[in-house]
Amino acid sequence: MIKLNRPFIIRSIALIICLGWSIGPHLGHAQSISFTDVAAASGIDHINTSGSAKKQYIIETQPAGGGFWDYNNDGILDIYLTNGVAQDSTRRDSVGTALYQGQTDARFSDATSRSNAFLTGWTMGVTFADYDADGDADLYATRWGPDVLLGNNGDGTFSDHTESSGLGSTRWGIGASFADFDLDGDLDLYVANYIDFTLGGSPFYDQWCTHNGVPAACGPVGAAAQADLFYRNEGHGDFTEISAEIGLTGRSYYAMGVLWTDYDNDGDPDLYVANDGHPNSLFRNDRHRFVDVALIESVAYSGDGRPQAGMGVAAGDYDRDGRFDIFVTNFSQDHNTLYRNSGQGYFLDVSGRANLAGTSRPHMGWGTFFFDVDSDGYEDLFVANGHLMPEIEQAGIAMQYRQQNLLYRNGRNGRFIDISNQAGSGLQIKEVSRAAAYGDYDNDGDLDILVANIDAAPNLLRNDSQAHGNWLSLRLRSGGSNREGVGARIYLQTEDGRQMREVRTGTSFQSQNDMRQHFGLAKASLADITVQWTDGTEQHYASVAANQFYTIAKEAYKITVE
Amino acid sequence: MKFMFVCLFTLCVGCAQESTLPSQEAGPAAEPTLVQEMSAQPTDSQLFEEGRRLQARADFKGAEARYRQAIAVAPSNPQYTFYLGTVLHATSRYGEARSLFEEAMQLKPDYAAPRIALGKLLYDVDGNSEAASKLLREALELAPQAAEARYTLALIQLREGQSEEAIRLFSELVEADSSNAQARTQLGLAYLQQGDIETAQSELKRATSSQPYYSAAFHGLGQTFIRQGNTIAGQRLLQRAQQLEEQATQLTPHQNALRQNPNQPEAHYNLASMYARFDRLRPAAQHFSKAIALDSTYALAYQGLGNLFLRLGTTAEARANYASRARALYLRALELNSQLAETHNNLGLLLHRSGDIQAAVQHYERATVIDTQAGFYQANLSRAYLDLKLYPEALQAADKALQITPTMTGARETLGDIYAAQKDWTNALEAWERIDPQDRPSELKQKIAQARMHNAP
Repeated sequence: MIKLNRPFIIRSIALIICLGWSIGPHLGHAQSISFTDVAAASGIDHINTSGSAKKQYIIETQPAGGGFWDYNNDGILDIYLTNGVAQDSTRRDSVGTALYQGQTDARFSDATSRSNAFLTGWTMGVTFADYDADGDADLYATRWGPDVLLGNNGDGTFSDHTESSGLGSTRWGIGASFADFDLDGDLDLYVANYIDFTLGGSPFYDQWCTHNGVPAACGPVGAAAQADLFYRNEGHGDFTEISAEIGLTGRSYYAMGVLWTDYDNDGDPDLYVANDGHPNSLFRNDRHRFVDVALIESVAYSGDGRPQAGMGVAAGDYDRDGRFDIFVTNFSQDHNTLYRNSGQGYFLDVSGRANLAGTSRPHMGWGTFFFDVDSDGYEDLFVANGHLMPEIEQAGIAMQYRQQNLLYRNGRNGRFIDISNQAGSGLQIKEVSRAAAYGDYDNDGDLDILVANIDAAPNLLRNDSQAHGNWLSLRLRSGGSNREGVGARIYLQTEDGRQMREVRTGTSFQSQNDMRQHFGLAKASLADITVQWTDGTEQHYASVAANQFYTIAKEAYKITVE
Repeated sequence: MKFMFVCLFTLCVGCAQESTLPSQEAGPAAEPTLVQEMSAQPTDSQLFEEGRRLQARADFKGAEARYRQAIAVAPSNPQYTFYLGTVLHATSRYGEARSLFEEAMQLKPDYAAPRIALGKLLYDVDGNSEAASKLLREALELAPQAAEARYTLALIQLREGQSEEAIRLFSELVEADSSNAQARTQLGLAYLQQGDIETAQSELKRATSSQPYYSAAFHGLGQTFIRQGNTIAGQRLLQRAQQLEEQATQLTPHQNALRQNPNQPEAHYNLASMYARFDRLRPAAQHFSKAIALDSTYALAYQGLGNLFLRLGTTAEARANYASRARALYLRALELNSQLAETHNNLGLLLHRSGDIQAAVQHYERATVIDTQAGFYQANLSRAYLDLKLYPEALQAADKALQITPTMTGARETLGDIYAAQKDWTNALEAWERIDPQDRPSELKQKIAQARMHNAP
């Protein structure tokens, strides 16, 4: 037994006090972050159905997408969820996508039928934007089968605009995202496509493959990659596919997550695509033509020079250095990758240093986003996880089919702290998760999480954290064709420093976040805001009070409380 | 007695790492099995040795049976238990493998090998960096020279952002073996992670020199140039890295097939053909030769080896020497299988070059009969007829070549040459001018100019 003398005890107590002083608030903070799954209690009764339970075909492992949007412009977030196909043919017509309308009491009502937004078949992901600038958000769904564009009629219903808009690719789409790539004021569309796949046909027929010694769906290796598609908005509700015209003619990969972000701070949106099993792509926007600079910028491979299996993708300025960094989720037995933007023409794989490598290896990552979970002014990180193969649990390894999602708190020192186990019951759920999005669905000032799961109900994780900082939330409105200010950058300055956000559509994995921009202000009660619109207009709003939802109207140069 | 081996249809996960496990040490080629030579009741050590032999041949099923028999005789032997674990690991039976490694560690607490194997399993399969690192550190205390443990531990440290420890461990590896390009590459990458660009570049240059096909080394080296502002050099290296990565992707299934069937001539042939496609002539030659060693009647392997010789030689004398070896190999291939169109064609080329055009025509003709859809066989035949001044035959062959492959520049040039040889400058010019200007070599440009002069009024 160790004998303790008094000076030692005193020194120890002093040390504990000192440590407590410096790290105590962090630890206490972590414990106060809490999420609760309220999907069912909120009226969300959607159940994802994705073919057979055995998952013999790769198509059955993907179709769980969804996100937050405000389709009826009532200031309350709504939810759209995608779906697969029932194995039982008698159920096929009843299985499909779902639209839930947010109510003032933080509950949802099923608006699928009355809105005419029901899609059957294999629907993968979604992105929402007012592509026709008629004042309401429309919906683009990627699918195995023709993609669909649902035009918002403005009366709570939707019409199929696929054909009239010139969209409807029959390739297997996964990620999709709108942005104004040519800065002409309207929103163009990038669709990431996966593989040339036939259910039960070539190249996989009715066979099983193996992975880790257990049966697994064959693919994507062995299948031909389907090229991504880029559509220019012609301004009259129609699009033209112009991939070749703008330099997107390189080799096709198995593309999944899509992200528009102005990584080089030159005022136009660049495009990052996470590719499964291949090098990722970073298309730099050079005066409206694209050049793949992923190799040069060191975001194609992991830091040790390996192609990974890119799934979901997110961007955020986690280190608050004024440059967007990129985070990519990958296959299990590999790490998720955080590429820190050095600002010197290259990124650095800092996954290990950021404590994101080892913690992610046992998980297969999909949807992901940076968000300020505790409103302390630093962006935290969420990753949705879930394996591909139900049989993985028979492999005699620690890997599970249903996996816990990961929540990392930003340590403000370049490192993230895995607080998943201390973040409430909502983070203890194990499902086969795919899409993930954040949004303040109950308008209480903190960010909640939506997770879409394979063969299960989604999770709506309500943020019940007790201690969080001040905040404010900004919705951008413009009178032009880019009504929601997609691509605009917002800087927020407090005495604690400067933060920035970018208005984006479809990111993460088959998903889209709340388009309102949430900022954590920590203890600050006022903030100065600068908005850089995509046409170069810069607007400043000084001393904006915390803990409010605001709308910034470009043409009126006005910020108003909602 | 010829050894019969069992083909396994298991997915080889982490084979590259497996190859360095003790269980994968090279064993002798086909020989009578020990068990067959043994008395009715072999000893445990004989069973174990037989298991090792079978495992070296990737006969995991056989090896497993022998190890289990050995363990039945000597249940407390840690080595037998460990090796059984390695077989199960190699066949993706991870749960059982894990238990066996743990059991071997219990039976012999100072046994490093099962710690290394378990550490690798925990990292590669379970994704558990922390537990893996602990085991690998323990292994290094027990066996400080264990390169496998040091490398894996260093890699984990690098990926976890612990570049200082990674540098120490990788440095120890390259000090022990200066030809270890993999460790040197990772050492360079660790320096890169630390921001020491110059040292990183120096290590990565050495790595690319000693292992010119390791994509990660080129990738890292490219990064160093980019970070120094030399984007053009960096970009070139990164493109090379990507090229190598794509090659590796295509080579991997063949390497895995060979690992599972190391004595199958087809597996060597397929891998050799893939290496040859990427101009990696040395490993291509090794595997073609191995295919022949395993099956001396394997005609395609002779042809493949002959094709390699056809690409060698920097001086006229050396080329002639290699050509004669290629010729011998082609003749042997045709002796074994007279229906190899490519061999006939390539032998025709050799004969054509050496001036024996009549003999070349015979082989070209044979090639066109066997494979009627290969335009370039017809093109070669056309050229040979032209050299023999048999213009109608040459014209017919060139036409056939262009029917099969209308875009074949060589056939179109030959067509022009045939007309030119007959002083038909109009048709010659028409044939040559149909070749894309960008694909016209200077000699052809001269011919076109000459024909235009002839055609001038």
